[in-house]
Amino acid sequence: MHQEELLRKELLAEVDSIAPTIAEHAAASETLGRLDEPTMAALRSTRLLQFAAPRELGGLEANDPVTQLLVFEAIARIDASTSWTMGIIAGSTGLAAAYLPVTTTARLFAETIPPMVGSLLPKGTAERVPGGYRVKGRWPYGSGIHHAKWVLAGTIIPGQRLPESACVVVLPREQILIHDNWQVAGLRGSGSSDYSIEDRFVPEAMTFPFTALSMGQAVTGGKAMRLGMPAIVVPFHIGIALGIARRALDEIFVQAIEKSRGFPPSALPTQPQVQFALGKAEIELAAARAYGLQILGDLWAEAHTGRLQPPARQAEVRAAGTYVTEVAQRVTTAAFQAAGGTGLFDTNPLQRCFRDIAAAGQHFAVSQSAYRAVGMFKLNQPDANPML
Amino acid sequence: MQQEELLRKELLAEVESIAPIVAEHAAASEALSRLTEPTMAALRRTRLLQFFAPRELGGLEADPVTVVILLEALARIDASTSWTLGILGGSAGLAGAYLPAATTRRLFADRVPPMAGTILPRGTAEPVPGGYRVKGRWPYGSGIYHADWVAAGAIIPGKPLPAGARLVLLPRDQVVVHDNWQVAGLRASGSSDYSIDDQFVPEEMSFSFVDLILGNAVTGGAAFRLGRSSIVTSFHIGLPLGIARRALDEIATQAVEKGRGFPPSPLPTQPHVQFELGKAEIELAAARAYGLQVMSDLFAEAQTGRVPPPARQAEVRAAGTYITEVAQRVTTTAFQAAGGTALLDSNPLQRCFRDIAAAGQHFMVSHSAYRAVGMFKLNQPDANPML
Repeated sequence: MHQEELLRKELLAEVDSIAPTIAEHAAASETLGRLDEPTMAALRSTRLLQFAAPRELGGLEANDPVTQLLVFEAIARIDASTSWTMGIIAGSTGLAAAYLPVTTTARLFAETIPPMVGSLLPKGTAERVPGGYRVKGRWPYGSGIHHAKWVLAGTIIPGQRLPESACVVVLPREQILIHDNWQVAGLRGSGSSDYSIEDRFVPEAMTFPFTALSMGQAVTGGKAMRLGMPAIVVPFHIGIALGIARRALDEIFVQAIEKSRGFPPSALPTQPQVQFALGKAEIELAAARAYGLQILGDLWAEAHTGRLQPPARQAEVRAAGTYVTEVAQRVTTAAFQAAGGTGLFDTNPLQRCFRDIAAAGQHFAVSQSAYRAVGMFKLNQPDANPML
Repeated sequence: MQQEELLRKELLAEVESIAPIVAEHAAASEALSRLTEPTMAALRRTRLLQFFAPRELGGLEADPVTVVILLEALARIDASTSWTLGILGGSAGLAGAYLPAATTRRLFADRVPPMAGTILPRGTAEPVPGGYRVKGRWPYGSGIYHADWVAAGAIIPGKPLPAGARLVLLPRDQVVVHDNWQVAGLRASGSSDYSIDDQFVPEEMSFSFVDLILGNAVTGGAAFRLGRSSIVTSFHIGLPLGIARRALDEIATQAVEKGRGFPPSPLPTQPHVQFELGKAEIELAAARAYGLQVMSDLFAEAQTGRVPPPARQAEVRAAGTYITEVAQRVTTTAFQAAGGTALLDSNPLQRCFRDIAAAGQHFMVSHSAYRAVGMFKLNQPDANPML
């Protein structure tokens, strides 16, 4: 526990060390539709892209869920697209390292920790051929793909039944076609473009079954890689949402000092409805954060028992992500609204927070269906499913 | 910390041991507008009435997290019982901590005496040799029917506030209780008006309101040095959490037997019920996590020997407001899901719905608490946690 606290502090200090660069380049990254090179160079100058990879493979394996929350929150407070990209790269790299065969990862991670990204959605096919698969398909939301060395993709093996037929394949970035379709309003700097694979051979050794991931059966690394689905991705969603909302409140408290509204104008900080709305937003965010830290802390403690958390618990953890995201949207909106017209400008970080939190909430992992899944488990429905 | 965990377990076991009696008499207590004698007898058999009194005076001096967990557990059975116990034991704790040590040694010599009363300064305390002549009328004397001693907030005429505000303590038989607690929610809490008609109160049966605000307790530890408004917030967090938890427990059970719609389908299979109850579970879990975290941090702060500053007081109070608001939403969701069957007096969901509405009317959890937080965050010179 002591060691975890120490690593947490170190990682947060690394975030601080590159904060000025991230902040300075956030707008340029938005224009590019992906992180610009100085931002990526700054990330590479830290250990942040390696923080989830197993220690055996040279990573920090500092990815207990609470540390993840704190790191993603800290970066999202500066720029959500950077946090999103960094989280996808570090997380995908960690997953591939933990679930690919040991001999494969020994080779791939021999010199450096290679940045990996990709979507686990089974939007392609993997046709069995001698020694591996022929893979084709097109996947949406390849966040961070422009910065990756390897790309993951979820596929179905034709003729086999789900979920056993779901297979994750890993290919070199050069074998992938990236489509330039990430023209969006929020998380614009995350480069979440579609990508496609057109009939490529993938050796067996560069694949792992999706069920291994959902059951937490990692072959390398510790307990943080064995949380199961969807719990394993929840710290990312909670951390980013909390960071965006925190930034929005920080912004409005600073911007309010300079701002007057009304006729005759009065200073924003003296206006009772602003005091009320922002005071309530602070408390809502504090509650959401307390919940995020508590549930991920408990999840981590449960992981130490070595037992995979059951589906009802997976549903609850996912719904915590939905809830925290929903609260963060409300809080960010309150901050945006309080700023009035000055919140409209591209130069105002409140505008970006408002767009980013709206985009973050569109992810399936934090969809409103998560609440219904919890209700179905509580009501003992036989078809209850955490991935509803 | 281990000692606190142990105390929590023991208190929860004591609540468990009297749960059947509290549950059985909840309706009769409502009809009486105060707790029935069997309920009070059950409480007296446990150590629950001593939960807050200083250890030096024979009490358990529960920390705020323990108070949340205790009052939650009782409110899950019956909110009026939890409210009454919280007031009787909580007032005894405050009086035990803030009255002069010589006084409390005498008052607490045999046992922790149940106390009630309001600190709202609704009366006057005219200085006379050796003490004060007190008169006034106070609202919301929760638990007063079961108290040995009654506290009352009074102003010393001619002295500026807040220095002029004192709390006086009288034997229950020197107080007139008015039978005006005809209400819809927390009906059994017996929160009647009471008045004092020119009674003498010796100096040593009083203490300064300022000491309470500043956390200058004369007896007991950090639990009494949380400052105002924090010292009462654990009460306003535990109660709503217990009521909302009960409402969700009830609907999860009641839903099994219930079909609705034409043609009827079982409630547990209906997607909108699944959605709403699932969301309510998560909202309540978040509110509870927040309540426990705020109280735990607050206690840790107080244990460093510093009374938490006003901005922090505002935040802690607003946590109570927020949790109450969430509990109202959650309880309403459970009530609505039950449809017509929730309308009946015999359905605990109906009582939960009335009780959580009533709990939210308390000034301590009013929505002004949010504005107070905003004023501190916006550095307003007139920011005040008791707005």
